Amino acid sequence: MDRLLKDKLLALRQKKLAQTQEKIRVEGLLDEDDYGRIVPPMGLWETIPNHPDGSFYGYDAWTDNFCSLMSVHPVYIDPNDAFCGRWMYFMSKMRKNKWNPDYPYDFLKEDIERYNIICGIGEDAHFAPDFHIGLSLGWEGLLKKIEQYRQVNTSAEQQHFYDIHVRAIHAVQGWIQRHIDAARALAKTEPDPIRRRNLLDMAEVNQWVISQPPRTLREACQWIIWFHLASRTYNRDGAGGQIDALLQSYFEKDVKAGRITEDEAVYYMGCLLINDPVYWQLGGPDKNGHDQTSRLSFLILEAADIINTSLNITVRVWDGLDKRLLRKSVECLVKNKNGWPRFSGDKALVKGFMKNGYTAALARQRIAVGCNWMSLPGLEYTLNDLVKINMAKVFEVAYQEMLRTESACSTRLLWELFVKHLDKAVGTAAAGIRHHLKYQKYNEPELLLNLLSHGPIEKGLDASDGGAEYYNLAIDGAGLAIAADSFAALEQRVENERRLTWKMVTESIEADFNNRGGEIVRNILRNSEHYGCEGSLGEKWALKIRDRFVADVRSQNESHHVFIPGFFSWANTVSFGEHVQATPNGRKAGTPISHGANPVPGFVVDGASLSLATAIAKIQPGYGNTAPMQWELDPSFAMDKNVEVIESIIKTHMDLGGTLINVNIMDKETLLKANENPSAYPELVVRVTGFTAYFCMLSPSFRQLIVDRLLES
Amino acid sequence: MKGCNMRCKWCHNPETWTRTPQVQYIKEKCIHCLTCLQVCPNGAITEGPDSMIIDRKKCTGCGLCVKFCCNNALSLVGKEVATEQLWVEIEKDLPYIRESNGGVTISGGEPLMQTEFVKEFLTICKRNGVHTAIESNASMPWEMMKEMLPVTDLWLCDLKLADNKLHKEWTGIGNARIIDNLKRLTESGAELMVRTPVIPGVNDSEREIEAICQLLQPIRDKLTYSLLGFHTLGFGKYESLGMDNEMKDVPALSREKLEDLKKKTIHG
Repeated sequence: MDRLLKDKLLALRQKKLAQTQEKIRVEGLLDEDDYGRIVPPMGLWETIPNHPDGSFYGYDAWTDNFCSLMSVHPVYIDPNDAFCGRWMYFMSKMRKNKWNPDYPYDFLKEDIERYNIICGIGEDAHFAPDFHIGLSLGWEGLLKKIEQYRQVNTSAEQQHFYDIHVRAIHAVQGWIQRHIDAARALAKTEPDPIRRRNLLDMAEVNQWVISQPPRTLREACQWIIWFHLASRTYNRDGAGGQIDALLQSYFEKDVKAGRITEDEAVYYMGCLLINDPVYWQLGGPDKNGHDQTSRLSFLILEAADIINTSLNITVRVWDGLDKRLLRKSVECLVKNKNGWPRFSGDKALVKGFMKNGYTAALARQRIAVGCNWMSLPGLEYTLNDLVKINMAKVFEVAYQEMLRTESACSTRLLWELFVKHLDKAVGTAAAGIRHHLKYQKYNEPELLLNLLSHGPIEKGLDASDGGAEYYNLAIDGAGLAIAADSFAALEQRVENERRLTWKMVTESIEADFNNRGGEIVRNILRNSEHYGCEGSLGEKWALKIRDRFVADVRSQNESHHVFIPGFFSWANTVSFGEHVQATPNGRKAGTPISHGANPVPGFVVDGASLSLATAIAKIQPGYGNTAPMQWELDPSFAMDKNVEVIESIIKTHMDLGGTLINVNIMDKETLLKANENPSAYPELVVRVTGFTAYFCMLSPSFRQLIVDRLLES
Repeated sequence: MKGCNMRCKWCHNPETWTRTPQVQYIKEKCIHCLTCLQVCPNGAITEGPDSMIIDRKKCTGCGLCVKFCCNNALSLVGKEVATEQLWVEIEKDLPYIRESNGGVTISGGEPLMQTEFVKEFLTICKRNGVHTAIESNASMPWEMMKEMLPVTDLWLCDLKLADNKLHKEWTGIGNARIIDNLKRLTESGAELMVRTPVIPGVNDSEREIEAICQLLQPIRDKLTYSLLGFHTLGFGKYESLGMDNEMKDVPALSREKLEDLKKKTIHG
């Protein structure tokens, strides 16, 4: 690659590392995704409450806050960058409360607490925009679209709806204008001719995209960046899209016209990726079943390889995928060992989504644009990754009820009670979603995502309020392995082998295994048949729980609300575990629950990778949402010579029904040292669950979670 | 496969020497519950100062202690399986084998000490379109090796030392039949990979490697040849099996030494 361009990318990379350190220093640790945001100036902007509780709710307040913030939001320009702008404020997180208390859900709170459900009420974003809308219309085109539908949807509420969106667009344009002015001002005093040229080009690019649809690759990338900076600022939305397909036509036209070289395209892609680790997808079929891999797909990987920061790129594995793209992506994974790319499995995802009654053409359009989630760009409202049921807690509730009954303890009785409580928990989660859908517009409208969705502007309705085309609502189970292995241990050790009694187990878990003989009981339980081992009791129970959970979630379907089950815990394994006492699988009280669909670490002695891949392929809920495989690969295996084998495991997992693979390749010694002194390893990136984060930015308990997960696997 | 007619002093798989099951004890996992001591029908287990002690003369490998160990500190190495049972295990990984163009390798110990089983099992593999390989010391009578030819796609054999007497001193048997068998394998058209494990203080000299290569010279075009560097990853097994490790003070072969010796081999 052109040396100058590469040096620029490397300089941007270094700057990002420094900005990450500043975030830690000023704001503290964060158990979430790495973001492209930087530390804002102190005291520049505060939220504008509109409620006595100090928070802000509803269309006007969100619009007022967003527009106010945009009007003062600092300008960010780096002469090494092709693009300007960075986001700084987590506006949605700056509220005192995230749900409007005027629409309480007290009728659900008891069960939410009982089952430790993350109910999703008041959550936002987590569905994909369709960038095609913005790229084809531009900001002025969006304004015209609003004006067009304003003539059609004439109720007072709808007119107000359009007013706030116009205000939001103007606010973004104002922000862009200040960057144009700043770039020109900087150019006037920039001594270096190359940097001066870049600043002037930056101004020119933005002068066009402030109103018009982009014409070139650089303009298209800048447009995308403005939208997602605004959307991130608004409510942390990080969903991207099929990036290679989105930008392919711009790239081809530019190259054909001689406007850019491939090196410049790589530079632009690198700048786009560094700007923010938005979730992008590469490859995979279009709606007609044709692979979308292109030359640009490879250039994007090349850019990613150069910058090698925290990246959320997913390669879509399917039968028609360009084999070279899969090979290149696995090579990048092995070479950089930084948790990217991820891999999604089209076969199971498409087939599963179709079981909801959708066509293949529609199903193929659903892309990986979040931690664990898929979304139809601009078409669906989902609450993906926001609603979770702690299955370990449900198990605990069932176990405690069993102890209170007069019947003799048995796994049969325990199962009946587990089913009863799981049904209740799922029902509660679904009721929470319905409450959210009913009142979310009074809480937090999707001011930005509405603009790049098909429906909200056309109907004059918020995406949460009937504006979206489809409502495919996600409910995830977490801690599956804890519940499954607990059932298995009881069946094996108490009922089959009679090595333990119910009394021994109960006394031991109530004492957190600290009673006399408790450690022995714990070890017997821990070494029972695990989910993850084919044909084991653990697997039997995991499949049984899966089937019931899927049936429960699907039973919530109603006319235009489809409920889709998944298995994913996001970053909640620690907090979920804090709510659960010791469990009969030998888990200690308060310790993290199992991660997503993964078996507990140490579930098998040999052949862990293949057993893991097979077990998780088998446990998939099967309706188009994922149950990712969190794969901790040993660096001694993840070497160049084994790329083909790793690729085979990925493909086979997808063939067997897998949906998403998140990979970490971490050296044990490095990780242990980094855990002791995180600041000494500022470049170490981990794929925590579906998201990547800088290890040094995570809290001690989260870092320990990753260390434990690696050591035990 | 369990059972081997050699006793290479550097063996990394000492658990494969005998044909009978052996109890393996990993003291780091032991929580000293003493259950194994209580259940052993032969009084073979006693409590030591920091670990359990297994009297290998008394231990019959019945496995009762393993069954009752609550933390997997005890395990039984070796069990009887039928070919169909083994195939069921392989079938679980068949999708991965097919996708990666992999296969099944029978190793040991010396697989040809159980020719009937090996032949039957490899026949099942071939019937299911699975690539097969045997890792053998090539010291068994040729008739036994010949029997495996129709069901074996690849042979992996070691030639450890050139001198027959030294070979016997370090491995327990001489190398005359091995060399002859290697030639016969190449004459049969079998695909053959010959390796030499390079052991510090035994054969890690240019002279020794050149001498081995000299023996392979007449058949050099009909095989691939490589050197394998000695490592210490198998050391823990000796202790856990109550076996004596004669190479316990020998360090792993350095990468630089291995690379230097590779330049002296028949394929350079």
